[in-house]
Amino acid sequence: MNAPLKKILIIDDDVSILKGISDKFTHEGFLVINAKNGEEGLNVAIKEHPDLIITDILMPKIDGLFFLETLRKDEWGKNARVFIWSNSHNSETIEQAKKFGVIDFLIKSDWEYRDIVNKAKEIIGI
Amino acid sequence: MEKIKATGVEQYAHSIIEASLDPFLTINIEGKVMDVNEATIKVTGANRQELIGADFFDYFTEPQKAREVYQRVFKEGSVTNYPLTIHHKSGSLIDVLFNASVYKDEAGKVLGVSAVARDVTESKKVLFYARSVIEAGLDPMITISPEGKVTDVNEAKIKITGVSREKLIGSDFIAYFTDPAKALEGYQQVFKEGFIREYPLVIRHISGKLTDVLFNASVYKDDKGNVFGMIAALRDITESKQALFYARSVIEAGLDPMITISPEGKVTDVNEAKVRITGVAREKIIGSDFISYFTDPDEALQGYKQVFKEGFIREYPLVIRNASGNLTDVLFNASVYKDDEGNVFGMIAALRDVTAQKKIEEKLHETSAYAQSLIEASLDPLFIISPEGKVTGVNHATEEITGVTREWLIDSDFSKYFTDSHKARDSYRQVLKEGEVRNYPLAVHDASGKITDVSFNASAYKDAVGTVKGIFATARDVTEAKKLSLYARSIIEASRDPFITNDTEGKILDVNEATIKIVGIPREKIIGSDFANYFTEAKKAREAYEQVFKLGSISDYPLTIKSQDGQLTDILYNASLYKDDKGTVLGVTGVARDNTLAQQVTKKNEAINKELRSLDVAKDEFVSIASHQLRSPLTAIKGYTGMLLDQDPGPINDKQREYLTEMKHANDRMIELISALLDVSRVDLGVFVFNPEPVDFVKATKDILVEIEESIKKKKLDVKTTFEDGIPAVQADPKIVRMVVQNLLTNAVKYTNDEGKISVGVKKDNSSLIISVADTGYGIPENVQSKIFTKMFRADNARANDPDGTGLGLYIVKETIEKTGGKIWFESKENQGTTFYVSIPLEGMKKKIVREGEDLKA
Repeated sequence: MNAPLKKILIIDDDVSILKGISDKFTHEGFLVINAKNGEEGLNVAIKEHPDLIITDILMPKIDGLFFLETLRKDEWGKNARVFIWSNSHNSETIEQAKKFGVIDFLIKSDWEYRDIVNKAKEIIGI
Repeated sequence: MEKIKATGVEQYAHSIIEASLDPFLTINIEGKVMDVNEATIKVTGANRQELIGADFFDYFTEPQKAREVYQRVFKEGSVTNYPLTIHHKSGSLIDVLFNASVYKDEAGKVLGVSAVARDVTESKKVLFYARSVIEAGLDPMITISPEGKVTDVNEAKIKITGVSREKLIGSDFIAYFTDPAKALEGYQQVFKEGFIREYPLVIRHISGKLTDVLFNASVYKDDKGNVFGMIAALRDITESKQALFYARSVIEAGLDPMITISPEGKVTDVNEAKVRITGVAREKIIGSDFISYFTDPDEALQGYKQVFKEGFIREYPLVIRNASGNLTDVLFNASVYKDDEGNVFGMIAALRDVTAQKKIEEKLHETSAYAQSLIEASLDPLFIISPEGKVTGVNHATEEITGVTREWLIDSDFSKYFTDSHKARDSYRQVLKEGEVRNYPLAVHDASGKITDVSFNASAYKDAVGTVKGIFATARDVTEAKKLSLYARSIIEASRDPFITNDTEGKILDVNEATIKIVGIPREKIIGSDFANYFTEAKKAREAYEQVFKLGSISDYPLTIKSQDGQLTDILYNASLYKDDKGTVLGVTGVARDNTLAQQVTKKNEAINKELRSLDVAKDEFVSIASHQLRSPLTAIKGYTGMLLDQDPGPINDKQREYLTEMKHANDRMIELISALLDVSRVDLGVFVFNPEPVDFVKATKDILVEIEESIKKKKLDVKTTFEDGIPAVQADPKIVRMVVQNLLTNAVKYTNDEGKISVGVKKDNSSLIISVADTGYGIPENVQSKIFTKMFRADNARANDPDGTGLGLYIVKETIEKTGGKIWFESKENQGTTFYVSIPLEGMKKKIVREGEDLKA
């Protein structure tokens, strides 16, 4: 019996990026759930309880930080594994994100997709 | 004075006492205080009740010395400028010069002493000394050391001796007199008694000409009381001066029978009084034998001889028998006068009638003598003025200040001696109206046009029924004091900040124009008013004031001055105590620095800073968003290219791989450039990321070397590392450390030819950790070394070897290092290599303040 697929939630408003990274994770054998903003992400996360959440910061409606803040108020969400994958990296944002207990804060353009996948595998423990 | 009625004696005497600015007191024969003025109360700190009847000597630091002085007054009739020290109740000491003379009843019995004690505490002493020098300037002046050597002379002294200043100074003082032994005696007396008065000496000019002089001198002391010399005036009493002296002595003694006698004992002149007392006609008296008018001619002869022997006689009792046989008790007072050759050519004598017949007259005279003794004891010029404005009495000081002799002063209009006679008359009217006037500024002009600033103090004196009989006025010479005060004023006026001096009770003593301007109230109204009144918070002002007394000074105490029209001025109050030389606190001098402008500037600066900050935030946001927006599509390109190269969708051929690799490379360059531009913006704005934590620099360096291992291998570079033992972890932002070391190492790799050498080291000195990266590369051409840290600058040899560089790396490194308290420098030779050094303070990286009032936002 194969172990059940690891569920990964990717929240990003950039459709082009979202499609690419989702394809990469799918290709690597993950069950990928997409969300185009924090609001969508929150609904899906609380419903689906993914093994890992990868979220962007700058997004319409609910941004990455507010998503985190709300998520942490949820019984399941308070211990959910999250890392930030974003192109905006001012120190205030990083500080705030750290307060919400994110595993890492990765700069999108500095990372190859395969390295992001490797990072995810490392976190989940595959 | 003869105009004063006996009924007004007490009121008159008391008004004289009160008019004096100096402590004044009368003492009875037992040494008990009988009367005092306000100044005495002030100087002793005792009230009138305590003082009256108290032992006079108890108020001096040396009661024994005071007692001696007092006894001397009885013995000699008076003392002048005897130095004593009064101790105030509070413990402070006041140096005074004690001047006193006896006063007597009609029988000549001494009733007591009237005394004035001039306060000569240090500053005044200096003033007094200087003034005495100047005032005495007409006469030959000389200062003499305790060893008897001349230390200074004036022009008059040079003239009278015919000896040049250079030769006079340092020479023996006694050498210039016909009788050096007598000069020495006089000189010794000065040092023994502190002074000498009217000591007759004869100066010999080098031409042989003799000059009769009266030697007047007193010692001068430093503030420790050590005598450090004497100052002497040698008054020329020959020729015209002699005549003046003679005339003056005649008139001064006018009430009594006056007589001049030749060396042969013949009467040469008499006055009306003498004619009256003897009952003999003037014609008959002149030429007659002086001694023939006395009941005891032998005794008269003895007295007469004493005059010629000693130069004078005082209060020698004789009895005159008049033509009808009536007897008159007299006191014989006389002195010789001489011509310019020094030959005595006669004596002038006054025979004071002391019989009962002259009782009424004597009563008046006593009053007058008492008053006169008070008047003469004063060092200030005095005027007694009739209700009509005529001068009825003056003292010697008045003669000196006006340059007019007593006989001309008496009966003249008092106002004419003042530069502004109108103002003088006003002050006079004020006295008549209000009973007194205090510290009224006037100026006296003498016959030569010399103007002396005086402070005019006067009070009216009245008879028993309260009718004003005249006014009694002192005109204190305030020239020197004024000069000093003008000097002090010029200093305080030079201040554009409000300047205020207060007394110990908080009353304002003085202010400058800036204060007047800021409070909008004229000086007269400010002076004497309460300091705290001028502030919005009087309590706080008083607290500030009290703090000065407690701490000795206060600085930058914020207060708000409220002007008359309600305008508020924020000030910073800076003040300190001022004290006299005895350490007694006199008050507080303070400067109120107008803080309005400074506050306005601060507020404006704050507003500007706030605006700049918000502008910075806006810029930072713009940069963040822009870089985010720019990087997002590049991220997408990077992702898709990567997946194609990873062959996620399926296999690619070699050509496809080649092209995709080029695309990826170009995309990465674009990302790198955008990241660098973002860093530059952040560095320029001072908003770069800064999260310090303990960093192991050796490990950080090793990590980077591992990361770039591939490129090192590709160029076959020989990398040597030298890490000192015991390098401590230092507080630093790991990202900055990474960025710095990575930049330096990748540059070394990039700009060194294949098979070159790279040496990396980390060591520490006393205060810093030093990272060095040395290569054997292309080097930095000397002519561009100064530009190497400039934004976007690239040396030609660097551009030729690596066209992809942004020219931003070293700029970002330098800015970041310097903004966190570190340093960067290099040594380089073209075609030989470069060594970069970075030092980080051992106490750790610090965010440096880049703009006043603003902490660096991380």
